[in-house]
Amino acid sequence: MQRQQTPSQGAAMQSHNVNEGRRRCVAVLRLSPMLALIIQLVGCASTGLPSARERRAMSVGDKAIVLLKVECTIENQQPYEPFSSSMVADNISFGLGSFETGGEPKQSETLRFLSPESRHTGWTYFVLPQGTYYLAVYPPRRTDLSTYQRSLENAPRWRIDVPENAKLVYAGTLHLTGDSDRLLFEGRIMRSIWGDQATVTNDHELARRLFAEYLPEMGEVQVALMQRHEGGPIILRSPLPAPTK
Amino acid sequence: MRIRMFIPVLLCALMPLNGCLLLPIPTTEGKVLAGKPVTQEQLAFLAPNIRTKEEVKERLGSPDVIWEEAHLFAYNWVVRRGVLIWAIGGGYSAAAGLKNIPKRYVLLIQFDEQARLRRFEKVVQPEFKSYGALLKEWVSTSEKALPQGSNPGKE
Repeated sequence: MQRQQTPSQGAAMQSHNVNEGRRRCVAVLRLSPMLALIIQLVGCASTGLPSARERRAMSVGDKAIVLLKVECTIENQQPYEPFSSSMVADNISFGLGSFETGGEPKQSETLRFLSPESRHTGWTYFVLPQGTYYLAVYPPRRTDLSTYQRSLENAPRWRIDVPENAKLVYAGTLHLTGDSDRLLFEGRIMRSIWGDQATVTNDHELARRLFAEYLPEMGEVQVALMQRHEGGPIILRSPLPAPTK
Repeated sequence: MRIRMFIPVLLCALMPLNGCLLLPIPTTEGKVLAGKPVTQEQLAFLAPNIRTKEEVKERLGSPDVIWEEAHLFAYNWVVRRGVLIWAIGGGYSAAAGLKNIPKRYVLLIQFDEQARLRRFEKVVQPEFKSYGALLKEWVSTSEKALPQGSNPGKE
């Protein structure tokens, strides 16, 4: 038997629904700053291992993990942590040039780390298809975006070769030094990098141990130390396209 | 009296009004913004099937880009094709400036397996096409339309 609803009951239900909707809106509004902050932080850096999709691409030799370590010092040989905040504009920023950009480095959107511990010790990685890349290293952003992006043009660069069928590549340990400014409350921030004093060394054993700990199933690491690029032609490598009909 | 009361209200109402001006002005392509333009004389030197990789390097200098798999050299330069006058204002502040509008040229030269010049072309990189896409498109059309050594090259 169907129950009849009186007009007063209908009005009460309608009023209840309106109040419920309002409460939900207020709850969402209250949460939105927190959500925005979480999205911002998550979108800035990816502290973690490659995704399942990337692992599949690696297993068939389409892509490789390119691991590198950065060690920084500022005036008077003070140590300077390169990836202290895990943000896009961290203590050190990277630009990466590829075949698509004609080798011209473009600002890297995300920094990736195998673990928080490896981040603090200066390890970062890229997931890249085989080819030749140009890595530009420059100080953190302290100006407007277009000026900052222009500073990429004069940033010191290194050439990274990702060999065919490689899964794990260690590209070297980059030692950087430069000038810094004092921050308002505490610490210092890098102002410029002395490109002519930058060096690359081989910490192959440390890289091997790191890969064995986090990606043991991917096999042996290949060492392809990055080379300083100071003028001269940009070498690009990419398979030839199929002829168009 | 009413007018006096109205002025602050009017000022407040004007506050959120923002203005933006973008005025592109075309110019001649005289000013070089980056790279070294390839001259007509240098282009005339490029003869398919005759010139070799080494001769091209000697005459035009070292290329900006080498795509190894395609035996391709690329020489890049950027000229100014116009200026963009911009101004933006809102509230009590305003800013204005002048920005160059670039035109990116690429001279593409492809060699054969014996390092003899096969084909060349001076192209303009479209604004929304990546450098890699431009190279791949040019090489794939080259493979399709031009049997080895048959292309006299074009500017």
